[in-house]
Amino acid sequence: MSPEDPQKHLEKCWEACWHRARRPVEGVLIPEERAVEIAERMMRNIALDFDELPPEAEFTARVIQETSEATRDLVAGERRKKADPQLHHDPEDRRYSQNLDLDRLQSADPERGFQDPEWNRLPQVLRPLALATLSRKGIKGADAEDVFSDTLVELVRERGNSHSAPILDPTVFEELIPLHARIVQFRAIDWFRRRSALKNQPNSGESFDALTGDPDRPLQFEDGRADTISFEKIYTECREALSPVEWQLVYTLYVAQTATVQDLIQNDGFCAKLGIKPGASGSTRRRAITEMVEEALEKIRENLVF
Amino acid sequence: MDLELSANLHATRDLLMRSLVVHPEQAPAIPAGLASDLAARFSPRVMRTVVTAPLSWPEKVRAFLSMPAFGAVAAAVVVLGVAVPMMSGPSAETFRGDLPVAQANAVRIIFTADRPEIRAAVEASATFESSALCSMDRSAADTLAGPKVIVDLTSSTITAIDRDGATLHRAAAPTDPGKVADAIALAVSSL
Repeated sequence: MSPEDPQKHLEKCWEACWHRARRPVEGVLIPEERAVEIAERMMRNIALDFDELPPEAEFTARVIQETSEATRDLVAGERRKKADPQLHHDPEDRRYSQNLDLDRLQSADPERGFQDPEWNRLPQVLRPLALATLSRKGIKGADAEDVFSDTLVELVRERGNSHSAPILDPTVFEELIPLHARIVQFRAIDWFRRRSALKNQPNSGESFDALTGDPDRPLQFEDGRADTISFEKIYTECREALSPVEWQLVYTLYVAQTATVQDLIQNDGFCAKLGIKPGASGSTRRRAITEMVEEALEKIRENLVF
Repeated sequence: MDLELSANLHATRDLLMRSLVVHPEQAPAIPAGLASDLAARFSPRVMRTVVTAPLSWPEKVRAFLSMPAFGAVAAAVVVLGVAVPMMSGPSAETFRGDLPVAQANAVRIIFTADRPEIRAAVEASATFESSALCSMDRSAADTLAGPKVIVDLTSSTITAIDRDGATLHRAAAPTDPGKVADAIALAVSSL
């Protein structure tokens, strides 16, 4: 796509918007026609906020973020109304057997805290997933059970910065799965750190360094599935770090994938936006684009919290 | 051909490439109504330049007169022309009291002999307001208050007298009736 082609930009935005309405979170599935209605309504609503077509990255990020939120709210409302936690659950999601009632999990007694009997069913859902993750990292048996117990406690522990427990974050039950998975990741790291600190002896399993490789980037330590991050999250966390032109560049090349590098090199208008002189040769343009892309990617790498 | 990026950026690039559409399912086409509405909303506003043939000046005048703005301005001028005198019209004193200052200061041109051809020539010259011309005998002319020019056809003199009765100009009346008006004008100019 030419970066100046608003029609293709809107089509790509629509595609992403519909996908978010269809699957606002992994494990939730909305009927196709319903997703069309939601996506159309969201795009119309958000378009009203702009007098002219905003930059592609900004518009797309906002559209899919608000579509995802609105769809999750809609699912939660319908589940509550029909008292059916399984409503709109993706039948192909085999990670666990059945959704629990999130409202009951989130209901807290002022004195006793989270005591609803629904909590008794939660370990059955989360344990297999957590133990599988911990096993891949070399934490097994009783150690894995201890780590898993810590993660359940952490779900209801009030955080210092927000004064709310993590269990209150999800809108639909399916969001609890990736939330708990992240807690498991961090508790596993803590387990390795504690073990390295307490025992002045060679590790019996894989060392923490061996697991992380790059100590600044814990990404390698996460599940393979977890390294997929939605664009709206990337944009939200890195929005200030990149200039509008840098966003347009990485969005066009990698996010929407609507233009190749060669397309951009041949696009005089886009090259002019990048500050490349009109008469510059193809190799000069390629070099300038490469430098700008690397700079933009480096900023995202530094700012993104994996 | 892709860019040759540093190896440490490959993970970030791959993350971006997987970030927008996370499921292989084919999305339906954008609804036609939505596409057209958004395109219309965000379409750039084009300024169209209308090229017209140059107009001759009579056509320009005609075009100017046919402009609605001209009609409006003309109507406003007419309304003001009528309304302002109505609102600030002459006071009652104009009708009941003395003559207006301008009228009081007006020069009267007085013919003191029965020479209708002379007066007719002066009137025909259109040099003076007809209301300023009058005929009377000499004694009446002398007692008339205000600035005046006495055209005494008996003595063939033209005399200019100011409001105080002082004679400011005296000259012989031309024998040619066609030149009398000019002589009177000269006398008036001395007042």
